[in-house]
Amino acid sequence: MEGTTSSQEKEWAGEMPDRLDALQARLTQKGIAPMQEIIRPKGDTEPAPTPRIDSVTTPDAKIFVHGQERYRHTSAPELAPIARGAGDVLAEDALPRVHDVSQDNTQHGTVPPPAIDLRGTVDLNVESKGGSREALKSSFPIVQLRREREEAREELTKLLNAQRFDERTEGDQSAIKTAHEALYALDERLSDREKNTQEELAQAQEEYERLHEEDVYGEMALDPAYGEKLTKAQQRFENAWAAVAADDIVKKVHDDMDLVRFNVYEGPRKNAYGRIMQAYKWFADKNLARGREGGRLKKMALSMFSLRAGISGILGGLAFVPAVGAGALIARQALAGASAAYYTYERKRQAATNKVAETKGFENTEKKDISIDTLTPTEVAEKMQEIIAHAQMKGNWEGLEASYQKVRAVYEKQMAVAIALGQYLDESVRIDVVAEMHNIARQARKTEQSNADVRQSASIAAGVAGVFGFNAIRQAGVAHEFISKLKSLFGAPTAAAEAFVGPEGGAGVNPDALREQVSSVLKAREAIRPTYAYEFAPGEGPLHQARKAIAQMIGERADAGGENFSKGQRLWLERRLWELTEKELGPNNMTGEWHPGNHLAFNREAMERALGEMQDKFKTPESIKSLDKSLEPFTKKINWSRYEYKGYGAWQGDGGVRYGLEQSETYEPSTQILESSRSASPDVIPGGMAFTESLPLSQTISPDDTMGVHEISSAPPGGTQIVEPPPPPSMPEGYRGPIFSEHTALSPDAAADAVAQSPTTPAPMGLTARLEIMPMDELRRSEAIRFTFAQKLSGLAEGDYDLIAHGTKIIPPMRVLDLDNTGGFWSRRGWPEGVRFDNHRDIMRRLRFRDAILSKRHELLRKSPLEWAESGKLTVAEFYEKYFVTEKILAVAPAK
Amino acid sequence: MERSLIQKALKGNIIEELGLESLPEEQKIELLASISELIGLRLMSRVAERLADKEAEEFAQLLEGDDVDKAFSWLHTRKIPFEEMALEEVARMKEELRRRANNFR
Repeated sequence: MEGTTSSQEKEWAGEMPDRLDALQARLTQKGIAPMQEIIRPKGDTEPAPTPRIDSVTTPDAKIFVHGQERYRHTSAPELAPIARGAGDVLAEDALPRVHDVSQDNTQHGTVPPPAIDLRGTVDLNVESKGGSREALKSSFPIVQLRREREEAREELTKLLNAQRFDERTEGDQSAIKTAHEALYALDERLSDREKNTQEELAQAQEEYERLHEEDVYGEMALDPAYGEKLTKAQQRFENAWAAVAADDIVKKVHDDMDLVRFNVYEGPRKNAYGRIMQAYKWFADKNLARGREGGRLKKMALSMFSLRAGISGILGGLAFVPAVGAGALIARQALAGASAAYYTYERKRQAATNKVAETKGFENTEKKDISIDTLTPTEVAEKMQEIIAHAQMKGNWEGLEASYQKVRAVYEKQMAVAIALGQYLDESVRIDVVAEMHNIARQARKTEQSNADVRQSASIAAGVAGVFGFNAIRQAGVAHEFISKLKSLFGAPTAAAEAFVGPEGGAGVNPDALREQVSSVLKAREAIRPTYAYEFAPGEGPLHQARKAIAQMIGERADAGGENFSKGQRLWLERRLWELTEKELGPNNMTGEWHPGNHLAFNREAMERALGEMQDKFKTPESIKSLDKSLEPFTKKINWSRYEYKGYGAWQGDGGVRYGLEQSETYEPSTQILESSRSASPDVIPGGMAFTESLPLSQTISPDDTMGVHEISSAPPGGTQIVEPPPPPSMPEGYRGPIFSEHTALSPDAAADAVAQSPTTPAPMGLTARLEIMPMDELRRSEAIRFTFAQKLSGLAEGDYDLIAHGTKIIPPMRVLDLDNTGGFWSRRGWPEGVRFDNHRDIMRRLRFRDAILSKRHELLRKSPLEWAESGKLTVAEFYEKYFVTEKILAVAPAK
Repeated sequence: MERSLIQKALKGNIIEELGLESLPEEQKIELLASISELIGLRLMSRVAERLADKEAEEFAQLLEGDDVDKAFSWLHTRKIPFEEMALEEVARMKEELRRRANNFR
């Protein structure tokens, strides 16, 4: 480490009193009291001889010994040698922090790019003030403290004339001691801040838990004063937790930034890294700076095109994931699209300040109906909570119940639309997109198109417009071209799609540019769908998914000639495709254990291979006819109308399949299909085909593998007898649910699934076939199975039931009485579960779960007030176990 | 990272996923900006790793130029999947922060 020279020391010593005074003044101004006691009085210029400083590094701090005293430096700034050799460059006044393009005549190679200043973060929403310290002011106390500490270090660096002041700096020992004291004082403030937030969290948690414990008998929930107190305590707890977590995250982010900088500036390739970082800084900021003169809105709009704003947008949630690997242009457009989410986030933030006023007046439900219908799902969810809060404040639901139900109905309707579209309508799908989706739904209703048409056109349109903006497409005069592209890529356009796109016209958008964008994004959507992937619906096996894949391929690819494929060819294809896929899956193959909600993907290579083989084998009309004939017993069982391809996401939200049982027919294994076709047309399918022989005889039992069933539809027509999925051969006639036998093992998950699915709903086919399995006594005995069963039965998203039942480290298991509160769990995402990927669908599931329990409680109250009161002492899981799980298990397997 | 994980990671709002809705709005935005900044730095570090010194200079000049798309196209021709790396970094960061926040639960 470099020290000062002898002459420098003398010069520095001469100026020391003044310099220290200046430093003292600055630090005292910031409230660092210890400095007043530390800094030597003016005139005391004689440096006292002191021993060399030794330091010890621990995992979280650096401790150095100076004479008889110890000093501790925490956190990572030691790893941030930004200023090494560039101290002057980093002085605030040397260069503007954000390079202003509007005032710059930069031509490459003539004017140097801006100096690097990667210190701290750039707040996208704080007007930069050309190097003023105000621009760096953080709303996080902990960030502010860290910045002040770093500023002090810079001051000390200048004072000591060192390249960067740290524990290795040599020179005037007395001055160095003073400098260390200054940093130590700042470290203490950081520690204090952490200590304070932790203490606040502990106190808030204690208060929250104490209030819960007060309500031993569950009677206090009816007391408005208690409810208010509990809500406040919960809010305090949440706030305290958020403060601690945010501080920690901020700390991590800043430490990681320091590490990156360290690698950039100290690594073996510091020149190359530094150069790119310099350019990145320029790139990331320039749009922001460009908008500086145009006011806030213009700045925000322009910042949407900066990379950093794009990243912010993605962090804020991006419903339409950009085209990975589809080219830089697409990425840039997608990032800009992501920024729109960020922009609307900001817009909503501004609007949020007026929310309180809007919560009033919900008693006038009729007047509010119109506005409710135009709200986004998120806003509707908020309204629901506001009404609950309002009711709690009033102490009753008088005049609010109807409003609540209406708002909730709107919410569920919106969610149903969202689910049908296969979109996650969470916060990330902001006002604009949601509003447009509503328009689509309304227009589609008007045109009386089928649901399938709506789904097709709306999902495609929303996906494209989500990136580019609806109005842009309308205004660019390319509406009809857009429709035409939809037609070529996704099948026939619908009136709904045309209505969505609307009349052409308008100005301000470059048609050529937009045409290119639309074309790019359509290609990108195609590119990001490298596999054909489907979700298992109730009653489906892997062959159903293969059938969908074949249907999709035929629907999308005119070149494959699929429109002319016979049913026999299609059946052959799906069988072959599944066989190839099954081999590819290898150990991951879940034959026989596919559950509703599982996914199965078929890759393009397998599709191509199956298609090629099929076309090779069935070249002549005779061979095709022969194949059709041999497979007719199977093809006639299939409800082909279900597999008419109606655009991307055609089977999303599908209710699955059910089967008509033909009692006279018997079950036969799946291999019969190929065996049958082989024997019927030996010259077409030569014997000894590898794939035929390799088909396992114990193939997954799937309805379409059987002779005894035929697929009817996902929604049974009136008058048709629908039966549960057919059993394997060993099952007795009239089988309606899982069969359990002794001496076999089954995972809790599979057992729970089986019981949850019956007797009111069909068990998944593959699973049913394997349920030779579960001793009923074990089901009654095993806590794990009962719990898993309860989890399945609850219908909640994975993990939610676990949280309700077991709580977290800081939150106790949920009690029945919690259901009466306005707790965040039922409406808000992120707390207490936090780390899960949940969405509005999860919220809806929770609401239904809660309603089921509340309904049971009301029933108990009517039947037996005593039992009602007793049930109030239970946790939600205990209650659910007692009143739902046991009942269900007994229904499936009555106690002996 | 596997693409499906990336897509999954990108879907949620990070503020909500971390359970920080009750933070003051300005802190939410500042946090978002800080995280974005870090992601940008990490991303550019990764790009730099893949470039020779001369190439780094060339890329830097393109970034500083008027047509930024050229910079990304330039990376693309060198088989550097910038957009994929960007998404990976965002997803990775989200995952790291989720884990971090989870320590407090």
